[in-house]
Amino acid sequence: MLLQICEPGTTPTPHETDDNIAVGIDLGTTHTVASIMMNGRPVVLRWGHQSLIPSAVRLFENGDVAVGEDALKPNDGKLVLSIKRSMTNSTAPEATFTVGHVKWSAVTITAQILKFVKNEIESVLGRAIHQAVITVPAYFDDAARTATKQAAQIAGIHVLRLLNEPTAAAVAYGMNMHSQNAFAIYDLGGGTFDVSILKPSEGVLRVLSTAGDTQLGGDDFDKALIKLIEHKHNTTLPSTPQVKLWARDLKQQLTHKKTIPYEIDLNDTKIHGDLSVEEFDAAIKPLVDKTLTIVDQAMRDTKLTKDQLDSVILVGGSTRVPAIIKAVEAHFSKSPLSYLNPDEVVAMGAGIQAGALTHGANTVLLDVIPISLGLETMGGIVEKIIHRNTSIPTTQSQTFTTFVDGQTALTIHVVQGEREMVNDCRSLAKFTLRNIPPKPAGTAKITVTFQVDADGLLTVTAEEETTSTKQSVEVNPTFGLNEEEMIAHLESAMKHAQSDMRKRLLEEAKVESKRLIQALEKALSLDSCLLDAATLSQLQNATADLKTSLDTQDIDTIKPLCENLERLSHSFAEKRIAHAIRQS
Amino acid sequence: MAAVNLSMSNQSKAATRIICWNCQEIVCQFGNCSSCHKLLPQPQEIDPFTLLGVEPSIDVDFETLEKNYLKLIHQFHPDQFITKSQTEKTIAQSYSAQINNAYKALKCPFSSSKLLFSMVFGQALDDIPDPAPVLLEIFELNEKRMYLTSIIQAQNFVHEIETKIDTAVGEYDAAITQKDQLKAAHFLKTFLYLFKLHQDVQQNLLNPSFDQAT
Repeated sequence: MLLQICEPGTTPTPHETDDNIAVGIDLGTTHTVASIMMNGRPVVLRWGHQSLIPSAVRLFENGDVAVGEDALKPNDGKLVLSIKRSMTNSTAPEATFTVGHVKWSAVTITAQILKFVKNEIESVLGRAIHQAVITVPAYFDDAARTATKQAAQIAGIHVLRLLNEPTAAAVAYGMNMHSQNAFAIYDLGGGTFDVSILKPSEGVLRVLSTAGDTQLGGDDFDKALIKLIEHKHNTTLPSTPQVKLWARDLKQQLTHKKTIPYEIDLNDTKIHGDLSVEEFDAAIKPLVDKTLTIVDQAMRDTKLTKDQLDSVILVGGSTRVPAIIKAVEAHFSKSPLSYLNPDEVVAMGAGIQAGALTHGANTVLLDVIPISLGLETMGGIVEKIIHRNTSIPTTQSQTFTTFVDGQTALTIHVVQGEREMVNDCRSLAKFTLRNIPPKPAGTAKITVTFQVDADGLLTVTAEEETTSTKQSVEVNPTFGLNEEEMIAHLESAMKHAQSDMRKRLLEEAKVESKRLIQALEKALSLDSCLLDAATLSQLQNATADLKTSLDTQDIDTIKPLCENLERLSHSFAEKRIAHAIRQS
Repeated sequence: MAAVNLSMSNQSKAATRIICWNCQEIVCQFGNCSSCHKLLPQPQEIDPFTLLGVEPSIDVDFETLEKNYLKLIHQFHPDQFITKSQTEKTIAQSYSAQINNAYKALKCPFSSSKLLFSMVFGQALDDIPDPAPVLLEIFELNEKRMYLTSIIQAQNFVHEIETKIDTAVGEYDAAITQKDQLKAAHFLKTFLYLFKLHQDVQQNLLNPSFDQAT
């Protein structure tokens, strides 16, 4: 793979507008890496000799923030490491910090990392970047995906696609592979573990199955190492970021040395000794075994046997640990591939996909939903609506009914997980469908529709259908906030976010209005004879109103007028179809 | 050649005319507008067999299914419309969901044969009570399965089931052609049971540990 350093000010492809340039960002637990397509190859962006930006954030009392290497320098304030591990539970108390007068959450801290990375990318490329493909662990649930997308939005990045990390790695390797057989990606990062089985054919790179653990990664190896040393000296080490970084350094030394000396200053004493790779391997064995159990689960879901796999690819910095390489090789009876830098390969794949989405590609990625989605039914039992490893996008509907005579409301509780009971699954959203016409139990029909998009994000719609009434409720399951409410909610943290959002919405409304006006004018020029004078003038007036409103630059004026015209033109469209059918 | 056939069959069966949302021309509703090339909303009522261009049968041609599915997904996946208008994005999202769901329904003989039944007779198979001869046959086979003691016996049993499956499939297809609902229900229920039994015996009995255990 050709890697080159890009001179400041040089553009990846000359004469490109900001709209069709997009980067790939691997937002990792310990490091963040970015890449972009240049001359048909993915280039990992470098700052000096470094491509890895530490995903570290230091929060100061006065509200200031330092990100990356600057955050790691010993300093005052609070150092936050591995914030990504809190994304699966981003509203939980442990993911919320108050420093000085500022309240921080996993989302806003992640936004700081992304904002910093965006600035760094812009300084290297010498141009503004608005769009990106951002990678997430394949096993991230709906809440964590939404939280990641929100963090990007706050950082001023439009997410073209949330791409699963193992899929991104497969894309990077796929550039050099011409096999039509299935292969596995074993992705062990700083904080998360994923395994995906993929199969390329007919221009589609299809994920057959995925499995993982969002709380299993190199961080846990560090913890095991700390525990091991605590055990050897019968002491307790303080759980500070400094000790964590010290343990990480020891672990890295053990990837190429048989035995290493260590020492650390505690308050009153200094402990020191030697650590062998055998001791370390024994300490992490339960974790390694856990990953192999997850691998077996993914394999079972594909109904393939291990010898039907072409290859196994190692991704993520933690796959440098020799015990992992040995375990994977023994498990698959194949020597695993890792010829692309395991720290950079996910970013590379994201960069390739960012280029493919903006410039078109021959290969389409077909991913799956990692964890089943369902609804709570009577007795707290989960009824699965979409099963794990279903290809996305997908839409599934299920009909429910009332269980009490005259019942007028129904609570819909959306959960994600594999277990049978609601309490063992992750709760995504809860809402109440009201105004159900009172009827005998079991006669009302309520259709609940789950729609999962290509980012793996879920929208739930509930509809009560009787002879005359129809109503629907839409849910964006995360914090129970819609996009605009979320922006307002985070406004104090990011002053510009809202105006950016409104600008975007305004642009979209204007484009949509212009399209509608143009379309209607053309239709009128063809078939205005189908309309009576009153309807014609009504349409013309509504068109004129909308045209005038475009100059106001006010979305609240434009949007209702546009919707009004759309409504009015509807019956005209029906008349035209009827007319065309009569003609033929 | 298959590609041409596929789009032809789709077009002829789904030749509903609509007004293109973008250019206002009146066009046939399949794929892209023949006038302005924008993506058109796809007919929702199209059945999975027609959508994926395979013969409606209990014995779906997997090679054609796989090939046509990947071709359609390649063409309509939302990733192909990321720089396009919101309307096209929405259409691509719902159409590729429809394609994925259709493939899922046809990939498994269990769901595809039930789907075919409800398409032909307008009634779900599960709403029809199990006919007595079917129950009797199931009872006999279950008993036989219980008394298997070696891999050889299990293998012979699998062959027996496979022959029965072939018969059931043939009778079912014939019943579909004759529009004989009772006969179709009889053989489909037999088939579904045999199919499950076949999977079960292969998974649980046709491995070395079975021989050792007995």
